[in-house]
Amino acid sequence: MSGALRLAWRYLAHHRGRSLLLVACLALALLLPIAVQGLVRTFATELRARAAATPLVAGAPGSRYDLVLNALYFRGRVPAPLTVGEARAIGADGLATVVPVLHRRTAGGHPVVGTTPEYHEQRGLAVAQGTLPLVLGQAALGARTATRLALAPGDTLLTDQGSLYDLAAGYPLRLHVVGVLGETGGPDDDAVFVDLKTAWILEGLGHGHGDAGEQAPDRVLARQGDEVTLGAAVVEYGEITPENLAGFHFHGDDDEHPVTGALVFPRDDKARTLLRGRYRVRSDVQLLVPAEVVEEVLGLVFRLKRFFDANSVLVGVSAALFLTVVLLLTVRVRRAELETYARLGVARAAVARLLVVELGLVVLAGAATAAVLGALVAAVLRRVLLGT
Amino acid sequence: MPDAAPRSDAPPALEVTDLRFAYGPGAFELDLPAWRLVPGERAACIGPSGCGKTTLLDLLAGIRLPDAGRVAFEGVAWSELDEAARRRRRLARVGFVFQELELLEHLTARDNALVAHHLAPDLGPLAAAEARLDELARGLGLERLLDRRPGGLSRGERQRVALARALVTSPSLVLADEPTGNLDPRAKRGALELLLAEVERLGAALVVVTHDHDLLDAFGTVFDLQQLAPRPSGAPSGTPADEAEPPA
Repeated sequence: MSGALRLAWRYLAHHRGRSLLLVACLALALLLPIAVQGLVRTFATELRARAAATPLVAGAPGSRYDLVLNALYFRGRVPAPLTVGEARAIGADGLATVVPVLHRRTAGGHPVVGTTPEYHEQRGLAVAQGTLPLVLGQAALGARTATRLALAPGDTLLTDQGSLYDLAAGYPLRLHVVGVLGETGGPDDDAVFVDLKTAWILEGLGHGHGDAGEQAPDRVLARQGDEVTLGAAVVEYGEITPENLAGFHFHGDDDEHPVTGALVFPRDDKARTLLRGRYRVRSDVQLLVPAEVVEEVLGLVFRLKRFFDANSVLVGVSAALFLTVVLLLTVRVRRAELETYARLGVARAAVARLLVVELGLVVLAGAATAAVLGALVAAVLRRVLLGT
Repeated sequence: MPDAAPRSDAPPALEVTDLRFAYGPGAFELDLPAWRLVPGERAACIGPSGCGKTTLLDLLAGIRLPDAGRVAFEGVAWSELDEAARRRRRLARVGFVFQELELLEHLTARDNALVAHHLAPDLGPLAAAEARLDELARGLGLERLLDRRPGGLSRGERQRVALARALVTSPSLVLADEPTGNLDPRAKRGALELLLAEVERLGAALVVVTHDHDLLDAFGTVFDLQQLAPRPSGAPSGTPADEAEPPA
């Protein structure tokens, strides 16, 4: 340890109460700017990484932001639905692999994402335990979901009750956890993945109940030959089991069922260009480049961040003024000590260096404390704001 | 204990010529026409409180500059040097035991003694200074006290730490402002003997301000500031030094 550093440390340690107070003041002054910087940096990095891994996203006309945020990050408002037939048509001529996504519901507060096995292939998701959902009513959990809900293959998870006023929605369904995915550090870690058809059941588009012919008369609206029309009083299954699996069915044409978006992975650049050109003129389907939309979102975020940056500059100036006052008061309070250095013959520069080292240690400790606390606050904010 | 080997033919360690100093009009004034101290010479400065003994030491160390006249240390007048050079020279060549000791409360006795080496690495390797301090500490009975702060030391122990700080740089001039003032008679004699032995070993010149007339026989020159007349130690009675007042 150099001499000045040793003496500076001794002074700060001897006056530890005063030193800690200074460190705390500085740390608090620097905390918010550091936390905001950290949060925005992480936010931007994660958003960009996810967008870069998704060449195109398709959805119904409407908000670009809602579509991208829902399909890629499972967040934000639910976009207008697109039929799965329209989604599949994008890749019908082999130009792209289309992965439909339906996310409207939650389970244990985590987004339930209905999709096809291609999703896991395209995202490179590995199964850490168990298997991917193979039949109706099964679910694979993202790594964080499994940890937070303390669930493993073999457990069950009840989907959350949707809005009371959404009369079309299905009842909560008990999902069977059959797998847990490996951690990716992205939004997939917080999701509950189910088969697309299971997601439709959650939407009330498919359901299961006992044999219509064996229903009590009060649950039957009409009987005509073999045809039985059941009333709303019929009891639907709240869980899909091997015993009742055959009783689940969908009404209407499968192709007409909704998805909230579709991830489109073109075969090559040419296919990508062709698809973009093709869907530029379509008014019923929008095909977006997520990276572009994310940059627009980040543009708004960075504009907001400029206010924080301006605030950071003011806080920095204020902290510098505060330190100057402390330095001046220090010189006054320590006049006798500084005079002793002078009488011994210690050079002014060496004394100045000593004071600067002391101040540097305080600033360093303050900045380090702010960095640690800032990272913690950023992590908390990230969890609160982004749910990751 | 007279001077071991003062070399009167050697170039003077200190040479004062027509020194005049005052703190302001009507205030205390110091006026010393001429004085010379050779390497190895020991001088005691006596005089009543307030007669300017501490001020004289400050002038000899280049801490203050005279209003008129010249104080030369090893042939170079302090007034010919700028502030930085004076400090550099003082730190490297002058050991000073201050009247108020001026130990730094936040440092241990060891760091207090080595403060010059900590802040001026060009004084030499710290390890060598630490070895020398250990040697001095043994002589001063400080070995087990080096890790204590001044607040944990008695006045006498603090005084010995101040002595160690003054000697650890191996100075060629040692100035001590009542270095034994608060020590018991036994410790006083021991500290003085160590000071004198170290000064002799270094071949350094020594100027001690003291009110303790029992110690004067250890000095080759006794200087009564009130009379402004240096005289050899053991001069006949009736000289001004004998008339010096006891400590206030």
